[in-house]
Amino acid sequence: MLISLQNIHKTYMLDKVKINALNGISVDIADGDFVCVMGPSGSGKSTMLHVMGCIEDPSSGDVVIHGENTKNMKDTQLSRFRNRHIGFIFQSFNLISALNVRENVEFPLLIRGGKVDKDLVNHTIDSVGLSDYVTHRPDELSGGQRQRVAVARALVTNPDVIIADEPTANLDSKTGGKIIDLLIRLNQDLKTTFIFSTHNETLAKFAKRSIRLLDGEIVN
Amino acid sequence: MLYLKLGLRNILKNFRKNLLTISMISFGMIALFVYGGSNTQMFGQFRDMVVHEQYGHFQLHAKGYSEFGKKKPFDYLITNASEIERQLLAEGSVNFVAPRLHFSGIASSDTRSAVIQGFGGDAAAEGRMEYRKVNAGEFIGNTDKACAVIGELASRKLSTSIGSTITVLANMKGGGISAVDLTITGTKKSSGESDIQNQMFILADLASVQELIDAPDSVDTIIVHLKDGQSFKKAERQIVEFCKANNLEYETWNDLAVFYERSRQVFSMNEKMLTTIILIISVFIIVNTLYMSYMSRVREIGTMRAIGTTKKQVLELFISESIILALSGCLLGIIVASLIAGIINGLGGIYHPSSVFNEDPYYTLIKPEFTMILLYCLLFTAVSIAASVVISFRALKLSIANSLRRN
Repeated sequence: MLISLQNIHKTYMLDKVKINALNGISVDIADGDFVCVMGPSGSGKSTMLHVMGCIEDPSSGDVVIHGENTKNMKDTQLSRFRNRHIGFIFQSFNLISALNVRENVEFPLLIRGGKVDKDLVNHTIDSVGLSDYVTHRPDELSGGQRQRVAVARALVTNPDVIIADEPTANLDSKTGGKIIDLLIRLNQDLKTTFIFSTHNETLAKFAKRSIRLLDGEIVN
Repeated sequence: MLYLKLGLRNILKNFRKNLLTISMISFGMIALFVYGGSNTQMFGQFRDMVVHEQYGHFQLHAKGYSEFGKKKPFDYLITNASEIERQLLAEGSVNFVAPRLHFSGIASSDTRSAVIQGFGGDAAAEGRMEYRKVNAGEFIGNTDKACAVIGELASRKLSTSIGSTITVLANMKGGGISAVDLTITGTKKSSGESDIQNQMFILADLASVQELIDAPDSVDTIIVHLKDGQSFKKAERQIVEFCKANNLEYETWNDLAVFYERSRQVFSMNEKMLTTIILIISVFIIVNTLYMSYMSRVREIGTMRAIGTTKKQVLELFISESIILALSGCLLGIIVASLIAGIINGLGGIYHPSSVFNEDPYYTLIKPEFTMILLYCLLFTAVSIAASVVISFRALKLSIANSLRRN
């Protein structure tokens, strides 16, 4: 099993009100899977993906990725773990605005230290169809192109899993469809595991498996 | 390198915000450059004056003179002065020496008497130092005639005039009292006008004073002037050996010029206060700029952390930005300050009215030392780094997920 969430609880304090974002969630994700997480706003989709992506600690429960329990990892260890095993795609693209397309894609490799494989970077940019835009800055690209850069940045480290939090929410339906097509193709070609959240039932149909959340609990 | 590049891009991206910080640092640098540069030059001139006109680089005495010479001056004389002078002049680093033999006694004119202090000196050597500057008449010359320059107050008390003769009585080395007649060639007003002791002095030719106190070829002090003040440390090592070999002791100009050192400390303290104030203001502005920069990039930093950037690397990014800001400000400050200094120096320098340092008004150029500029650059950089560390810790306190939720 690639990812295993075991009895995950996540509680927030919103001012003085206690919010139970996740209520004892347990889920397993297999290698090469293409999973869609669905649910209304506030159902806990993003929180679950954040916990799965090791960018948010659960209040209780265990996150096991590739057989490694992330609970006892120190911050630096966890950063390196994310860099090697997990790729992220965000709703608002979240590119580094001061860097161009090539530099954004290179960034996860650069922070590892050592020499960057330029061929790998070029190949990854090519795989998302942005070879002609390598020197463009994010503000010179369309929403769809920006999300492609984000996909390339997530792919370039050859991670075990790519977590995409509503990757099509800020795109029109046509562009969103193209991004999902790209993710499907990469899943098929590279066998990369994808977990993405969406509100869109149409997009959810492309997933091999769907997880539905309601009030912090899995309902199917 | 990655962080420097990223830092530079971020600064350029928010250039208008960062310009405030760069300007603040450069204004601070200009102020310190001009003030410090002017002080350096002023104290350089003051030091040269103190060394060349008053104390020389070293003063040599018989061993024990500093401790016991005041009570028993005649027991601590250098009794082979000519030979010691000859040996000193043979040292390659020595420019000239000024032997002195101090005494105190009673001076009498035709109608009046007064207690005076004085010394006998070599006319040629003393003529290269402070006492050459007489207010009236002439400095003593190298003549066979027993002559003296006298303090203005002493001159008034004795009712002497240029060309008149006074008789000086003093104790002899071996006991008893002796007298010598001295022709007044000039009068001098000491720079310490209120200092009665300074005004009641007499500078006579050395041979007359040696005869007066019956101490042939004897002096109590030999002032040593070096050819090059820059080689002071090397020369001091030679003087140490020389003193050992000849049973002498020495004092440096710095030991003697207490007023110079105190003045320098006062100005140095002012400079430190100015530096501290500028640095404190810089801290606030740099913290503010970096904080604004951080606030506009909370989500970006969250993203960087999500994709594997460690806290240490985020800290390095902030430090890189702060170093670029500090060095840009320093560089701009140095360029502008150099231009200002060039213009002021070209116009003759900064005007200073007459003061305790100098009887006449004088000008100082703005010429800071390289080490001083380097120190200011390091201080601004250190302050910038400290500010960036404060902001980094604040940035890293926010969880990655919360950073990503920020708009």
